[in-house]
Amino acid sequence: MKRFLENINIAFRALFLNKMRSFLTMLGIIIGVGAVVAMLSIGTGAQESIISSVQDIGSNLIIITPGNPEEEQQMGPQAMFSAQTSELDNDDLRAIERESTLITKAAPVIFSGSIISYMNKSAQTTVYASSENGKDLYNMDIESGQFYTRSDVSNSANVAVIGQTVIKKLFGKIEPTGKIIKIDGKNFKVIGILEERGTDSFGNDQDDFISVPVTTAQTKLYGLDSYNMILAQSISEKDIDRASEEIRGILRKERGIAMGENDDFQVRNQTQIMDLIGTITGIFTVVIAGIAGISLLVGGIGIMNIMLVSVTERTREIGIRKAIGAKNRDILVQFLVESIVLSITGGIFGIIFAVFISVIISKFTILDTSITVVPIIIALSFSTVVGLFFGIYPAMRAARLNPIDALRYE
Amino acid sequence: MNEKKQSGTGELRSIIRTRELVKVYKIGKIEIPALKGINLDISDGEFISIMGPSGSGKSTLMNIIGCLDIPTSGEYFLDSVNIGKLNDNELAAIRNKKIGFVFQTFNLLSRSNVFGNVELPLIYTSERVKDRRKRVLEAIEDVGLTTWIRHRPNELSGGQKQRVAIARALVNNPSIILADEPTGNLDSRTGEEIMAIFQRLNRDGKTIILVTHEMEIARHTHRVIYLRDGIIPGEEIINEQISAGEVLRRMPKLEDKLLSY
Repeated sequence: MKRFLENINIAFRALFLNKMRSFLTMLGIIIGVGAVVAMLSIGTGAQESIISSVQDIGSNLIIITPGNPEEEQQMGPQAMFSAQTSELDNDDLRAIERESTLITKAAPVIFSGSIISYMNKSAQTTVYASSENGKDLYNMDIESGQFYTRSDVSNSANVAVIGQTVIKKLFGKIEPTGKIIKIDGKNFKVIGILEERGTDSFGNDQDDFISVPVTTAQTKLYGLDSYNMILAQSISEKDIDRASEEIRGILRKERGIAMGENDDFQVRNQTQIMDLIGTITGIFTVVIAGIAGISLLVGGIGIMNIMLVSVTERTREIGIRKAIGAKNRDILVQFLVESIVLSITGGIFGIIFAVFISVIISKFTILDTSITVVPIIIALSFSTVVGLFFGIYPAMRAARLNPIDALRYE
Repeated sequence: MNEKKQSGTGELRSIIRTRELVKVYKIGKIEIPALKGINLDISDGEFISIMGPSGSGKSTLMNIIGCLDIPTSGEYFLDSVNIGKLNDNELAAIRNKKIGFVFQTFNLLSRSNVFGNVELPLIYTSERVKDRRKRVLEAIEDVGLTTWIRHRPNELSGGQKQRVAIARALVNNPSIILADEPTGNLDSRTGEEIMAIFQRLNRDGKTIILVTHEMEIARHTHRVIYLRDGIIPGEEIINEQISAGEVLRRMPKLEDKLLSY
């Protein structure tokens, strides 16, 4: 142990003597480790914010959309027309609400871009029509005023709740509650203001929308009797897959789909979406690991190269040490420690560099970064292994030198 | 004559004993004999010199005595240990414990200071750090370099460098000190100073083997062994050794010379 510390000391002194050379040798490892840790921090950050924005939509959410995407792909463009026949409507919603035992509530959704205006100002925004259940299912929290009620929905009332961005666009400093706005030329009364939701991980503004009762949207705005989708909430997270299956069964029966025929709708849940995200980020990680492997390999070759030079340069020193009683093992350890110190120091600088980069990225771009311990440990142990692997050959060459020849070396 | 003197009595123990020592170098298929049967006995506490022209096998003999190399045939006992049968690691351990090297070109580590250089042999022992420090300081004091302890070799004169090398050779308290042309790179006055140190160490009981090609230097020792073409044709007992201290006293000091101008 004592001799090991001595070797580390010798190694540091030797490396310090050739500061520029040591730094340039380390640069390969610094860039390799730095790139890996920085990229993984961006990856982890992105994954975290995607997951949290998926969860923001509402928890334990099941999303039912019309049409079967696989079938549409197979059938080509005609499917776009046939999709008309597979729309989701009020009967489907009622069936789910009536028969499902594993969901707490369900809500219809219609969304569409519309022009809204107040006094002389107008703006483009998304109208997001739902029922009174939509408030919970879509995490629309009321800051002031109130959400539309069940009776507003059944009466097709001309009322609206509006998001923060819409307020900024139309009202400025004016208090919006109670004011009359126009959506596609129709008058609506503002009855509530929604809490700010911020931007999602894709940079979309989640406050740039307005919500109205779904019946009002169907009859007075868009002339529809169907929905874009139906949202349902399972009673718990672990029941979400069973709830999805149950809904699928209910809808097949309700829509009269015979055995053996494909669904003309799709039931997805958050678990599936998370799995998809997991797969995508998994691929991302493998690609990064590949790049990291290559850059650390190149860095390792740099270390080997410089260690071979160092052994040649210090042939006489090796001769002196051996004459004085150093065993082959002592010389081996000395040079091995030197290359490991070189690569670990490079690794540490690389991590510092990565932390620096990821702080800058999260400050100045929309990307969130997240430095976690695992990639740091992996990067550090990987760079140690690189130092060991590429240091062993030069160190063995040094250890095998004949002391007589080494002492005579000029 | 010598042999009788050593083997007969118990008081003069043979610290180095070689019997029919042969070393043959093979270069490709050609065999080059460097030593052709060397019989040598050196007693504990002796100060001897080995003289011979280049190509005489001097270096080969030095390497074998210094345990840097092993003989092709014959036997070599150092302090009663048969060296011919040892492997690399065992040889390294013997070099570390029993031999102190002093080289013509000093062979100090340029990156380490005086302390670090003298400490070097102790790094490869199991000595405790605390004891180590004490021994290093003692060895440095012994050669009178205490004030230079934190200086690097490139800040020292040739004589000082050689004194560091002697301190390094002494620090492990070896059985023999092996000095290969220790004055070869020094001016005559500095060389004489180094010889004075060796003579003092010998008076204190150290066995010293000196390789030189200068008769003047060899006459500082008890016995001169001549080497030629891989054999020892003869040896000479020096009855009246040159006292380096005496020579130094007679030598005009540099300051005196400058004053006389």
